[in-house]
Amino acid sequence: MQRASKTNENNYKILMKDDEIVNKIDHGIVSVTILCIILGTIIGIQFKTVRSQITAYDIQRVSELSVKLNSAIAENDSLTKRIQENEKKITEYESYLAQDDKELKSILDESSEFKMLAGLTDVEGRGITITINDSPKAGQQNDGISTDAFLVHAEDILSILNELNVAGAEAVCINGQRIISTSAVRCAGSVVNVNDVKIAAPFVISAIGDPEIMEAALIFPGGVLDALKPWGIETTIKKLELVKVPGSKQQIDFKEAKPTTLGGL
Amino acid sequence: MLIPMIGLLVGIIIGVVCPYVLPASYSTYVAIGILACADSVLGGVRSNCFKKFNLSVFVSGFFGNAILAMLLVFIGERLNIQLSIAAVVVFGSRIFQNFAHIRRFWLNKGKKEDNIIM
Repeated sequence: MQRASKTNENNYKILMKDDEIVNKIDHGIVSVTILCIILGTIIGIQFKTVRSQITAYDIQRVSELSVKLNSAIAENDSLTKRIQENEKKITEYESYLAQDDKELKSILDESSEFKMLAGLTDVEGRGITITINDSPKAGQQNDGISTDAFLVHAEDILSILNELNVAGAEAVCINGQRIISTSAVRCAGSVVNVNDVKIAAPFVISAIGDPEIMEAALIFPGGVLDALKPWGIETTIKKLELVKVPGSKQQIDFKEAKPTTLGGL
Repeated sequence: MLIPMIGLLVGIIIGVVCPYVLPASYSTYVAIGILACADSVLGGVRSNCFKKFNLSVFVSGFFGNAILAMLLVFIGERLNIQLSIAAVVVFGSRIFQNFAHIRRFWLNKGKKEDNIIM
């Protein structure tokens, strides 16, 4: 009897042990599984969070965009060339037609005059070119003085432009950008925007007009170039017998402005 | 060991499906937390293999390690050092170690040799 109970007890003990082991393993797997689910949820959310972030510095995107920009520039160039060709053709046709028709000829003459007034035609004549470059001190360490002072700014170009116009300049261009009635010269960070085209130093301003008067207007003591001298900004003025100023390629669309009197010039 | 893996998969699916997205500025904290939790889970699997599993040790390790790792990142950000690297290195190496133990356990299930003794 005692023996039997002992065996029973033993059996029970063994059973219990087995049970305990089973329980232990189950316990482990269950808790590991639960925490795995939590971990997985966090991983899933994090995965989504990272994916939703806009990777602004994605190099692939940058190179993709630069390729697109290059192709757009090339396309722009080819289209500009086509415009020039077509304009040439138009003038050819016009002159061909105007050979016999006197009325048409007078209209065309008038139109070319208007085009010149608007600054759409390439012009040439006596004039000056002014080259302005940043001061060599701009790249160096200047104690206490901002490097900005040694650079050519849009305001400097504007004041030169102003003086030239006062001195009777008939056509002015900056680095090949013709200045017309709607032209703007504007600071755009490290470069200058002229007619929405970015240009950088050295700035070459070509002006057609009386060279003597224009030069005098610029270099008189206390004048615009005098004010730039202390900063070491390099300016050179050349008086030339032939200055070429290209026509404006800008398109002016009048959206708001309307003429008040018809035919009143 | 299949069940925890299924659980992990289910969790990932829940996380991806659920509409909640964490703010991007907490991304480092969560990433470090994931690393710490992954280490704990592998540790739990490992102790399960060797029948040395202890629930309280496992759960406290799971949450404690994650919180400590996030705290390290937080302090590191304030002190301008990348303390998160410490957590990454430690948890990363521990993940590999735990995995090595599990691997050897499963490969040498029959034999009683070539187990890493630590």
